[in-house]
Amino acid sequence: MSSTSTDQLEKLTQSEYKYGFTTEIESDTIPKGLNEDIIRMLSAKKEEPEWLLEWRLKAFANWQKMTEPNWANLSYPPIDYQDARYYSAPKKKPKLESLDEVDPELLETFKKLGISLEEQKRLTGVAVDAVFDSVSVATTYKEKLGELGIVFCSFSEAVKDHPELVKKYMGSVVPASDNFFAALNSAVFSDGSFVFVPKGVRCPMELSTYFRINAADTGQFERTLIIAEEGAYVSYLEGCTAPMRDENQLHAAVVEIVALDDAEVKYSTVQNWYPGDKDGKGGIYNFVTKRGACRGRNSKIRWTQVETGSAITWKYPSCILQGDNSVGEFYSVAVTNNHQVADTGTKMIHIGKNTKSTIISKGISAGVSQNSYRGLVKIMPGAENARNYSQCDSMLMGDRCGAHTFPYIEVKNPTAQLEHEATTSKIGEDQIFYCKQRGLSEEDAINLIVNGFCKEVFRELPMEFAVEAQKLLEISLENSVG
Amino acid sequence: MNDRSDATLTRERPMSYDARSARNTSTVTKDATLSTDTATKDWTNDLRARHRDAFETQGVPTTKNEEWKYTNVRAIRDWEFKTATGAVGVPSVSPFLLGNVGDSAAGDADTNAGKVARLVFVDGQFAPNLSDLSAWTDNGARLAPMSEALTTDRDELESRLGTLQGDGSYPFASLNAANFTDGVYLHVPKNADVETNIHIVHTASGSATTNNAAVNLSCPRSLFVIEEGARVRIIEDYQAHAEGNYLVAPVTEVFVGANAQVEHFKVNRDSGSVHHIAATFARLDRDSHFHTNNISRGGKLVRNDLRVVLSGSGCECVLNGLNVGHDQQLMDDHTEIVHEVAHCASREFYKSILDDEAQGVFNGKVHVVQDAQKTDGIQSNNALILSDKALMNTKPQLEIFADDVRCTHGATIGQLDEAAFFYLRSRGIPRREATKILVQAFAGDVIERMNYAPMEAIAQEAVSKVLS
Amino acid sequence: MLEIRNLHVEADGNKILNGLDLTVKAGDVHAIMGPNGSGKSTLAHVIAGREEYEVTDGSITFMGKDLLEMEPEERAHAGVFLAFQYPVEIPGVNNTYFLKAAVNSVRKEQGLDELDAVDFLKLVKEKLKVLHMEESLLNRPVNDGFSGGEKKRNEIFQMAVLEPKLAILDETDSGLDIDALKDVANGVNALRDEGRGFLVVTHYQRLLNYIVPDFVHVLYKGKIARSGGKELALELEEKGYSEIEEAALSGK
Repeated sequence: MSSTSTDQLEKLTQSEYKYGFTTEIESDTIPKGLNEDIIRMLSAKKEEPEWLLEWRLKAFANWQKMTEPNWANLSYPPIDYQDARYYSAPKKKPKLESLDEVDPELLETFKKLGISLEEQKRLTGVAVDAVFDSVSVATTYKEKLGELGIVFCSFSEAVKDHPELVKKYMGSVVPASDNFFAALNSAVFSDGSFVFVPKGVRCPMELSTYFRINAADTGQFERTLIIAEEGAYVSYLEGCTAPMRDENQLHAAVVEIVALDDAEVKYSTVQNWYPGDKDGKGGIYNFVTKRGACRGRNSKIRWTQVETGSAITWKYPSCILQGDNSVGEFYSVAVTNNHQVADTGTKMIHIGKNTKSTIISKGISAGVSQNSYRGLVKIMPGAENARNYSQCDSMLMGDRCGAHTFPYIEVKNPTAQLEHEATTSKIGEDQIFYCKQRGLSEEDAINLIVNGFCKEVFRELPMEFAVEAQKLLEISLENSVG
Repeated sequence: MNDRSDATLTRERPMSYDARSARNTSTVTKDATLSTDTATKDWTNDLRARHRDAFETQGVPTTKNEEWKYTNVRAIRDWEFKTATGAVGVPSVSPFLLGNVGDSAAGDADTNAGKVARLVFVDGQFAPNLSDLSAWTDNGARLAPMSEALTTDRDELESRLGTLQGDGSYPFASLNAANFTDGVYLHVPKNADVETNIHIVHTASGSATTNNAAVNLSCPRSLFVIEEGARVRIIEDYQAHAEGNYLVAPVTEVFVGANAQVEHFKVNRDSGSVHHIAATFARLDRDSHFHTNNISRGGKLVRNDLRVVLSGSGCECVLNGLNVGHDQQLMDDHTEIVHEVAHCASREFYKSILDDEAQGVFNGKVHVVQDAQKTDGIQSNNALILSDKALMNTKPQLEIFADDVRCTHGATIGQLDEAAFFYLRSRGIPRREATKILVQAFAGDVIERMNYAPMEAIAQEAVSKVLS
Repeated sequence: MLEIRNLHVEADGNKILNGLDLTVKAGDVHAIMGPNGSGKSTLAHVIAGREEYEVTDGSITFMGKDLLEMEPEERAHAGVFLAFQYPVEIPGVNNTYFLKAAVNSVRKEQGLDELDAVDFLKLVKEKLKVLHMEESLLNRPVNDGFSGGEKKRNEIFQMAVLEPKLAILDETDSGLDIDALKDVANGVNALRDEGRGFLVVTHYQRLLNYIVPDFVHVLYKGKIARSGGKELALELEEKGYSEIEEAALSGK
C-alpha cells in the first residue's frame, strides 16, 4: 500500500473511541470477589425471591465444577474471577416512575451516547431500556406497550411483576449449566431486559436496550429474555458501549429467545464495547451466550449483529429449530482492528421438518487482529428436508491480520440440502486505485468498498441501526488498508 | 509391439495393449489414401511405450486410489482387450446429425446448427463414407483424421501430442496413448474465425462381446491446436451402441492460443453396457477463452477427467456440465483447474440428476499457485436425487497458495423441493408433470449456458429421458 | 494535450521505462504496441497515477499541468481516463451508484452542477445502447461476477459516460471475441472527436482494424523504438517484432 493510503488507514483505524468517557456518579457496589455470600448479598440487594437465589446458587455450584473453555481461536491472560466486582448500580434508587426522576448525570451520559432518553419520549417507533452498569435505569413507552399486553421492562422488574413467566422460560433455552460463562452469568446476573409479546400481537415499535458499563473493575452480567407467543412479532435492538479503562473488563451476558407457533423475533446488535487501545491495552472481554429456540411451527428467529468493539469477542448467537418449518437466520459483520480478537459465528440446530437456516457472515480484519468465523450446522435425524445456506466472506486489510473460517457441518438426515460458500479477499490498492482513477477520494473509496462488502448484512438492520452501523464501521476502520 | 502388420489384425485376437495403426481410412481431402509407412508409427513408439509401461505398472486403479475412491472399475481388471473393428453393421448417417435427439432425426439445419463438418469414427477408426466434410471451408485451417495427420502433420504433432497428458497419472489415458488408432487433428491458424462447426462422432460397430471373449477397446485420440485470436466450435459426440462389455477410452488435448476463443462440447450417449473413461486436457494462453460443456447421459460407467491449465494472464475458462443418470449408471467427473498465473478466471458449474440406483461422483480441484494473485474462481456442484437409492459423492477441493484471490465453491445434494412440488400439484399439475417442471428448472441454467441450440436440445432430451 | 518527455520509471528496483518521449494532440489516436514486458501497461498506469511505479526522471504534462504532481483522482478530474486491463471488482457496490459518484465528483471539480438521479439515468441508458449492453448491468455490483468481456465493455461504458479528454485503453481488446471487439471499437469510435485524445495500448494488431489509429508506436525495452502510421501495425503483424529487436540490439 502506498504511503498516503497507509496514512489514511492509520487515521481511520486509530480514531479515538468516542464513547470512552466515564460518568461521575455515586455507585452502590459490593466488595470484590465471588462466593456464595456475595451471591446472597447481591440477591438481597435486588430484593429477589427465594427461588431465584436458589437458582443462582445452583448455577454457582455448577460453575465451580466447570473449566474455562479454550477451544476458541483466541488467547488472553487468565481472568481472576475473584478480582472483579459483581454488582454496581447508580446509587439513586433505580426504581423510577418517570424519566424526570432519573439522575440528570445519567441522562447526560445517555445523551452523549446518542441516546437521549428525553427525546425518546417524542420519538415514536423505538422504545428504549437503558442499562447502566448492571441496572436498568429507564424504560420508555412502557405504558403504551402495556396497552397491547406487551411487557418490556428490566429483568428485575419482571422477576417481581411476572415471576410465572420468568420461572417458566428462564434457563429453558440456555440452561444454567450450558457453558462456563453462561453458568457464571446465571449465578451473578444483575439485570437486563425482559420482553413478552402475547399471542397474536405485533409489537408496533422497535424495542431497544442500551447497555453501558461505567464502573471500574466491574463485570457486566446482564440477562435478556424475549418471549414471543403464538403469532407474535417483535424486533429488538441492543447497543453497547463502555468507558476507556486500562484494565480489561468482563462482559458475560446471556440472551434467551423463545418463539412459539408462527412467532417471529428479530434481534439486532450493534456491539461497540471499548476495544482497548491501539497497543492492545484494556478493552472488554465479551463472552456471550445468545440462543433462540424456535419452539413452534413456522416460527422464525433472526440474529443480526455488527461487532466492532471488545478486545475479545466470543459469541455464537444460535437457533434451535425445533418446530416444523421454522426458520433461523444469522447475519453478522465482525470487524477487528489493532489487537482485537473475535471468534464468532452461529449454531443452527435443525430438529423439526422443513426447517431452514441462513448464515451470512462478513469478517473484516485490520491491524494485527484475528477474526474467526466458527459455525455449526447440525441436521438431526428427524429433520426431513432441512436446508441451510452459509456464506462466509472475509476481508483482510493489510498483511499482519488473519481471517479464519471453521465451518462444522453434521448431517444425520440424507434429505438435507446444504450450501456453503466462502471467500477471502484483500481490500487492495487495486480497488482503491480503480475508484480514484474514476475520480473518487481515497476515503470515499474505502467506505464504498467496505460498505459494499457488508451490504447483505446491513440491509437486514432496522434503518436507524444501519446508519449507525455504517458510521461505526467507518470509525473502526479509518486508515486500515494496508 | 512386435506385431505391427495391419492385415493380421482380427477381431478375435486379444490385443494386449498393442498399438495398431489405422486401417480402412482415407483422408478428409477426397482422394489421397492414408500413408502407412512405418516411420509414422516409429515416432509414436516412445510415447506408446512410455504409457504402456505406465499403465502396466499401476494397472487398473482400485478404490484405494483417492482419485478412484467412489468409482469401482475392478471388473475391468479381468478383461482382456481386443481392438474393436469398424465398419460393421453401421447404421445410416442420420443418427449422427446434430439435430438428432432420441428417435427423431431433425437434421442439422432444423436445429440452428449452422454449418457443420462431420467426422464419424466407428470403433475409433475414421469412417469416410459416414463423414460429411462438404461444409468445411478451410480458411487455412487443417482438419484431418489423426491417422493421416500422424504422417502429414508430423512436426506439429510430434511437438504436442501427449504433452498435456504428461506422465502416467491417468491410467486410462495411458491405455489410450499406448493404443490409440485414430481421432481428429485440428489446427486453426491465427485470427481465423471458423464458421463451420466441427462435429466429431464416435460410434461402435455394435458387435456383441460374448462371455469369455475379449472386450472391445476403442481408443480415439484427438488434438486441437487453436492459434492466436482464432475462434472455433468443436463437438465431440460419443454414441457407441454395443452389446456387452465395451470400453471407450478417449483422450483429447486442446491448445488454446492467445486471445483465442474455443467452444467445446463433449456428449456421451453411449448405450447401457458401454464403459467410457475419458480424459480431456486443455492449456490456455493469455487472454484466451475455453468454454467446455459436458453432457453425460449414456453408458454404464462414465468417467471424465478434465484438466484445464490457465497458463497466461487474462484467460478464462468455463466448465459446464450436466449428468443425467438412471438405472445403475455411474457418472464420475474429476475436474482440475490449475491457475498458474495472475488475473485468470475459472467458472465451473456441474449438475447431476440421478434416478433409480444411479451414482454420481464429483471431484473438483482448483489449484491456485502462489503467483496466481487476483485469481477469480467460482465452482458449484449441485445434485438432484430423484430416488432413495441414488447416491452422490461430492468433493470440492480448493488448494490455494496465493493470498489475494477470490475462490468460492458451493455444493448441494438434495431431493426435489417438496414445497414447490406440492405447490405445483395443488394448482392441478399432475405429479409427473410437476416433477418434470422442477427437474427442468434445476438443469435450466446449465443448459442455457451451452448457448448452442442443437446441444441444448440434446441436453433437454437427456433430462426428459430420466423422467419417462 | 499530453507531453511525455524523457520518462524513466522503475518498479521494485527494475527499470521499466527508459527515456520515453510521446506527444498526443487533441483529436489524435495513438496506438502503442510492443512485445511482452516492453512497458506498455506501465506507461498507461503511470499516466493515471499508480503509486507503485516510481518516476525517476522526466516529465508528463497534461493540458499545461504537471501530471506527476497530481493525485489519481485529480488526474481523473482533469479528464484522464484509464480503461483497465484487469478491471477491478467491487462487490456490493452498485454499478450505477459507483458511476454516479464518479461523474459527480468529476463534475464538482470542474465546477458543474451534480447530476440528479433522473438526468443521470437518462444519460447512462443512452450510452448503454451504443455498446449493445443490457440495462441489467446497471444494477449489478461493479464488475463483480462479470465475464471478461462484460468487464471490458463496462470499462468502455464508463468511458462513454465520463467523457474524458484523454482516454487510455490498456489492452481493452484482450480476451474479446470478434463481436465484442466490434462493440468496443464502436464505443471508442463514437467518442472520437477533435477535442479528445486516445492512447490505445494493445497486444494484438487485430484491434487496429477497427480502431484505425493516426499513429502507431512500438515500445521496446522502455523506449519508443519505432513510430509510424497505421501501416506500421500491419507490417508488425507480418514480420513480428524481431526486426525491431535486432535494430535495437545493433544500435547499442
